Amino acid sequence: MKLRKIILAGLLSIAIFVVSGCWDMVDIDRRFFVGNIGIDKAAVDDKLKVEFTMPIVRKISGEGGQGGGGGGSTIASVSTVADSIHAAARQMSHRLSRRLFFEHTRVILIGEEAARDGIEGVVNFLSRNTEVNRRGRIMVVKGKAEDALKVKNEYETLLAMYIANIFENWTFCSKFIEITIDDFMKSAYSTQGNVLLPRLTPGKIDVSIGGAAVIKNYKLVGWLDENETLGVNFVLGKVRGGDLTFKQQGEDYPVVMSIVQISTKTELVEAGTYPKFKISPRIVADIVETPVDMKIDASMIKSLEKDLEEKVNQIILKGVKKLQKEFQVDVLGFGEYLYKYRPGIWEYYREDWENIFPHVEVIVDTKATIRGIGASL
Amino acid sequence: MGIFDTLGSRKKTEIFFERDMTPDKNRKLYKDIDENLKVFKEYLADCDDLITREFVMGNPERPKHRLAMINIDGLVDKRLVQEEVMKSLMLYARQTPLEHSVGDKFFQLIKEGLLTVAELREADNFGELVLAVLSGDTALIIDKLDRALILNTKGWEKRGVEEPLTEAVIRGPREGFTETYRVNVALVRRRIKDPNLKVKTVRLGRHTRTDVGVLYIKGIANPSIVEEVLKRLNKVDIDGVLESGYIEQMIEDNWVSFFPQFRRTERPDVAAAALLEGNVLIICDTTPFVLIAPTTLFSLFHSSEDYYERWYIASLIRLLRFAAAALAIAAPSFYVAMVAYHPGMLPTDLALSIGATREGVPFSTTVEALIMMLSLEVLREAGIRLPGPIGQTIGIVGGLVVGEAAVRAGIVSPIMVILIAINAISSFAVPNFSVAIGFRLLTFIFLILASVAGLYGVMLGFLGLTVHLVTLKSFGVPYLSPVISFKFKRLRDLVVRAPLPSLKERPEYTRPVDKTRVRDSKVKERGGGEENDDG
Repeated sequence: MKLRKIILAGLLSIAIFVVSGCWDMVDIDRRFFVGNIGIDKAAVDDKLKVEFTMPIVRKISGEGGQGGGGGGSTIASVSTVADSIHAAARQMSHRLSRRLFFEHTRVILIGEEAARDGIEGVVNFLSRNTEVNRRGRIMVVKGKAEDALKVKNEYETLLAMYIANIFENWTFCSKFIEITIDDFMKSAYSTQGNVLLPRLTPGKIDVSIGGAAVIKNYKLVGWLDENETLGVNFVLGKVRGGDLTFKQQGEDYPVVMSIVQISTKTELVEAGTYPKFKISPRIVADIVETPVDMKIDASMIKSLEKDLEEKVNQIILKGVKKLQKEFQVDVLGFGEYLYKYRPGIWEYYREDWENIFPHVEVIVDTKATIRGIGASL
Repeated sequence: MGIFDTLGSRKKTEIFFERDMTPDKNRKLYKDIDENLKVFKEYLADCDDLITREFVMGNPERPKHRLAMINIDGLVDKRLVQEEVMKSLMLYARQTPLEHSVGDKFFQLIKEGLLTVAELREADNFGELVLAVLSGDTALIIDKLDRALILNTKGWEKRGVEEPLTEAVIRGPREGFTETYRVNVALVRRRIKDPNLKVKTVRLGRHTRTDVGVLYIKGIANPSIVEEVLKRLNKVDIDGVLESGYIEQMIEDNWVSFFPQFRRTERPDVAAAALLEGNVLIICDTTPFVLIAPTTLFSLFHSSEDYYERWYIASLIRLLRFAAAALAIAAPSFYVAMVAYHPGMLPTDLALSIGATREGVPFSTTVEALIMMLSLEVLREAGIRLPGPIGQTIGIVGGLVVGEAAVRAGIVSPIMVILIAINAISSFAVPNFSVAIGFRLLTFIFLILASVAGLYGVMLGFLGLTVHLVTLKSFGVPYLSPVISFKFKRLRDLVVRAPLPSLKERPEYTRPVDKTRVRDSKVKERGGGEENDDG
């Protein structure tokens, strides 16, 4: 009896190796860590031009003087034309000495043209592939993805780290969409492909992330600029901080406020033919810059608070209007709100939501409080 | 032929293989001194270190009383024998009229009136006498009497009480156990002046007849554990016991385990503390290492200093030890699992820098780790065996060769050197060397597991380890107690150490008869008194 138990335990232990498929020992120096994947539309047919960049670890090792490693670039970049991303990765095995490894993929860049054709393939690749790092970033490039991958940045050793780390600034800059691959896939599935993706504009030695790409039914339909994106972020409750600038009457120099605390509430106030939503952000801000001669007293603070509220209202409405009128795509979560909190009402709108959304009435009621005014009077 | 004849002399005298010499104890002494001496010499034939000294008492010209003294050269204190035995009997005794005392009266006179040695006892059989002589006592046999005296004249070259080498402390007594049984017992007794401290001695080893003492405090130690220890000791039938390690391995619960089921110590204060917690001590002659039973995994992580220092620092250091133990077991295996199987779990920067250091290393991570770990073990072993000054040289040369040169030559990566160094240092941060060595072994097993199955293997290893630890027992006490039956109260003196006044009870795993450690004292009332003065 005991012997049988021991044999059984042994077999089960061995089964772990076989069943889990955990037999793929590949040493760290036999892998290429793909940092970026760039997806562009290929010149021919309906194919994709997929570009992988990966660091040449030998060249980036911290050996000071040898850092250049013979002068070549520390980053290797390979591209191929294929039907799909996975096929492209497989094609690479004909050309590369090591295995492509996606667990450290930080950035997936989709070229504008490819995005206009549809990103369903990318979503599918990401959801089937078990390797890809879900905390990576995905964004749409204004122009071609390969241009973005050519950027020779001086700030970080790796382009992927450079791009991905820009998103860390979201706590004090809310003018881009802060979204990870994981979030992107969740919302893409739940909304049938209506999402906002960050927009990346490549330069020569750096890139700029700001604004948003509006994806409707997995297809790029247009862009939001940075201020519109800020407005949308307010609605989505994604603003963590950031600066708001406006001019007082008769002053040359603007007043700059920095948001230190914010909470946004969205609620349904009326459900007629078209629903009416009220968005009420509660903002606590610090004054960081003012015109030199400005006297800040209690009444001035009151008036600045008014100005700030006015400014936020404007920004929000501008972003919302653009989505409603120009793109007619609900990426603001109104439908989701109804589905989650007012399922009865949602039943009523659901069928025709695509047509109802552009006519949804939105009122914004911002309440601002100024807390810090700096050291001087 | 002559040689064989002497070797064959056993046909006359029985060779005693029983450790308590039972058959020989039945062999009574004769009344004739010559007969007795002859038997004695048969027993100890061909033992050139035997000293027999025959002498007479009273008037040497009309000898009436013949005596003989037998002992072993080197085991007795010669000065003591000369001053207190020979002089007393041969010189001072002349002032006493002996003419009329014969037989028992004479025996009584010698025993009670003439001999000035501190400890003596009677014996009437050869077994006891021979054993006493071999233990360093002196046998005094008297003509016309079938009784003899055993005089305690033990005194051999021995090491003094010195600071223990293996358990150095910053704060705490500097005394360590020695190789002499009685000294060791005395060192414990000096700390616990309690008639309840019991010492029970058994002799183990058919040839060595080593004194093994079982010490416990009656009223604290659980009688069932004491009984079990004695029972197991009495069952041991081995030719020799040269170190307490023999006993440990003969009476432990599970000899397959990597984990020691006894705590061993060189420090009398640790031994005394263990007694007070309800443990049983096993003190073995000829070794300074004293065994403490029962033992739990956690008690092996505790050091005497934990109780001498303030509780914050003691708790912190204990936590560090547990962290070090985790590193000691799992550091190389985790590294191998991460690097060879799951590089995606490493932060990108770290993965790249590890990858960069691995660039150009010809071996797989596992082989690399094995090379480093094995060379470290070799260095450690060589360092112990070599005499002090050379040992240091080996350390330096080995450190340079293994650390610097191996990296330069591209055989191992620098990160591996760091890792193995941390791993080795961590394993010796555990205060008990036997555990540390067990951990070293486990490290290898985990490494192999990690190299065949990645993190699954490591987890499998931990699972197996846990299963093993849960089933392991030391003298009926679960090895993982007190966590095995969880009670928050018991955690006070486990991974951290609570302030001493709050440790009101003895640890539970020994199942002590009397649980109270700290009684509510009147210290607090002092504060109240001062307040009254103010009012």
